[in-house]
Amino acid sequence: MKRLLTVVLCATLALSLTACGSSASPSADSGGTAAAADAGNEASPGTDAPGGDVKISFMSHLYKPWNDKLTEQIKNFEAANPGVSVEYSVVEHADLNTKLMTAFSANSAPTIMGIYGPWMADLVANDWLDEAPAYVVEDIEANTFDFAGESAKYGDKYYGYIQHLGIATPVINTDLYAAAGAEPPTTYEELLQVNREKLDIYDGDTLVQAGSAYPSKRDGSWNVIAWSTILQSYGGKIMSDDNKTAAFNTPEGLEATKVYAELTHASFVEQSFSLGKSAMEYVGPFQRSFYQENCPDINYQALEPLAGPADTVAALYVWFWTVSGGADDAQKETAWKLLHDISSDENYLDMSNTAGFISFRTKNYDDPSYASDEWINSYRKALDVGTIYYSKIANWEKVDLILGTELEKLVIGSQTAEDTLANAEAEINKLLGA
Amino acid sequence: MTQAKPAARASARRGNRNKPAQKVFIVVALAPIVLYFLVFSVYPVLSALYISFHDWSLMEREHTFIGLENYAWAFSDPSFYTVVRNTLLFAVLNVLGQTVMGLLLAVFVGSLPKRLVTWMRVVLFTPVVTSMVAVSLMFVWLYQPSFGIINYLLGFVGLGPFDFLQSETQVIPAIVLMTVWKNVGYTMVIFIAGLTTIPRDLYEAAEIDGANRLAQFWRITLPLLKPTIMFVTITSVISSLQVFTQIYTMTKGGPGLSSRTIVVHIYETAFKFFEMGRATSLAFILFVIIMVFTMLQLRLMRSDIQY
Repeated sequence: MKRLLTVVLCATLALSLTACGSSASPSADSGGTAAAADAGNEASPGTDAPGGDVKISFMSHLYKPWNDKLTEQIKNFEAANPGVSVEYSVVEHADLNTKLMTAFSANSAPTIMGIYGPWMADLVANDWLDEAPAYVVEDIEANTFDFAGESAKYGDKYYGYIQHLGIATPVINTDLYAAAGAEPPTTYEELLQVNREKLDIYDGDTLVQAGSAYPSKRDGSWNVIAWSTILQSYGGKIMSDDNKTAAFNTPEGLEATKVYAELTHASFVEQSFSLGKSAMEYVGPFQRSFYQENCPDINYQALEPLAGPADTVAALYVWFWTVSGGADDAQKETAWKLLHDISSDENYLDMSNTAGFISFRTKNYDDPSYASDEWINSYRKALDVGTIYYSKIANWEKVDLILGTELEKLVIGSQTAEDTLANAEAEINKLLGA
Repeated sequence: MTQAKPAARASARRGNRNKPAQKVFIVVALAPIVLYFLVFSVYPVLSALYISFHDWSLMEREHTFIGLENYAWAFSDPSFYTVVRNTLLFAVLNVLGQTVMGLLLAVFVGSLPKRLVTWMRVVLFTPVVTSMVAVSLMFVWLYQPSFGIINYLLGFVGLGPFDFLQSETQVIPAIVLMTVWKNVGYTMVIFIAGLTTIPRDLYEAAEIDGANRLAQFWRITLPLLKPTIMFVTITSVISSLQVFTQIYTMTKGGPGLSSRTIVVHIYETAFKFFEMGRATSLAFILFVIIMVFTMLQLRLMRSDIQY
């Protein structure tokens, strides 16, 4: 009886193990993978899907309208490419960097993933990202804004497709401007003047309406981005040309830092613009859907980037779609093909309109529906003067933290603009070993 | 008698025969929890210790052994002393607030008519079971300098306006105030439990001797609550030194570095800069700080703990 029981148990165990084995990933199918590997990663997008089944993973972060549209575009891609299967997953935005970095560390990175621009220097240096194939490079160089293409380039190679651009421009409350009899400013000098004379309103010592509410907290680097925009408009720059030392502690930098401080009101109510308490905020294009949903009574208008004494600049950041350097050749080929597909003029315009992104593709602005949108057009003007705010160096996130922290001290009045620049300069130079 | 002996021997033999089976049963029964402990506690701690001796960046493939360099980096970094000072300030204020307020509320609730006691307990315990993130976000608005209700109310008595979270000097007291408000219900319940263990006849005897309420509190309640006070302070110190959620939700450690605590520092080192070696060394330094404080408290309060 015992023997019989043992035999039955062993047979059950063997069967269950066999069943587990049969559910292995199709991407492990050696025939298809080997055949595809021969094709190399320089294939044009018109090449048929690699022979056999190819399974790739695609990790994105959570933003529902975007995720819904991506899911739809991925399904269309799968339908057009029999044998390709894409496992699309979404993680909370706050968890994305942790999940990606631990996945890299464990050699289990998804085939396609969204990467924040400042991380790329380190990832490229460690060969964790795949180099873009020729047809992708050609597309980026021919059809995207110059700075966007350049931002994906390390050395002379491209490593990503633009996922979205983080760009901000001043948006005004037209009712508050009209009530004050003020004209929308075109320069920082005009903005400062109109705020001082008409839009900053005090009840005794208490500010009850702010002319502008520029980002004052380092959350999401927005205070550094806003300051950097003004800095460059006043003729300053964050880093030296060789990226080895801080370069902002100059007379231009000081003037810009004072302007930035005046345009922020750290103690004023958060989301003051949406509450009708501030006449201007500095935000990205996606904010329109927020206004429509949360403060439909506010009339607003996006302005073109303000001019400084030296230049007109819109500092911005970029997120990229990248392909894991650890994927096999068939997966890499399929992944780039998918990215090329979702980044096409047609698909990215669809995505921009759905998710509230601003398109990085120049041809989209020829589309009548897109070009006639005043809101979009203001951001288009910003793209014309756009420049990535971060330097392509390892440790940028630390530089960013130092700047953000010192700017926070400035806007709450605990240190002067001079001290802010001197402290940040000393810390950054120490960090970079200068 | 002669029959009992063989029966006892048989029973003993059965016992001996069962011993291996009992051992197997004990091992099998304990195996899951021991395995769980080894996998999810011992292994991660040892791994973290191993990582702390390496230049371990998640952005790099190679992790070289660097001995105590990560620990040396921690102590040579000026911001480390700022975060330690912030953490200790938070801990001192929070432990004082929770212990004193918890005790006073327990005594107060204990003196209420019975029909009110349950109601008061529910009212005071409700914030404890509320999400820290939700409470923190609510207090960000309450503390808002220009339009927040706290400054509005303080205005009626001629105080303020205060900058609260926008001030380098007020930010930690403001966060402590919120934390005490949220957690004091828990310490109150612990103190109420402690108060019920004090024999009533001690108070009766004190009353006969002419001791007033204050004297009874100082001479009876407080000394006999010493074990409870020790429990409350030790757990509060440990949780205060590990404070993260409310800080990260309300200020992200700002303005500047004024509310950045050790765990926020660890978090940013690990998950913003991906420097796991440095982050784990900071975690072990925090572990030592907590251990030192706990041992110090145990030593200070060990003398006459039993009643």
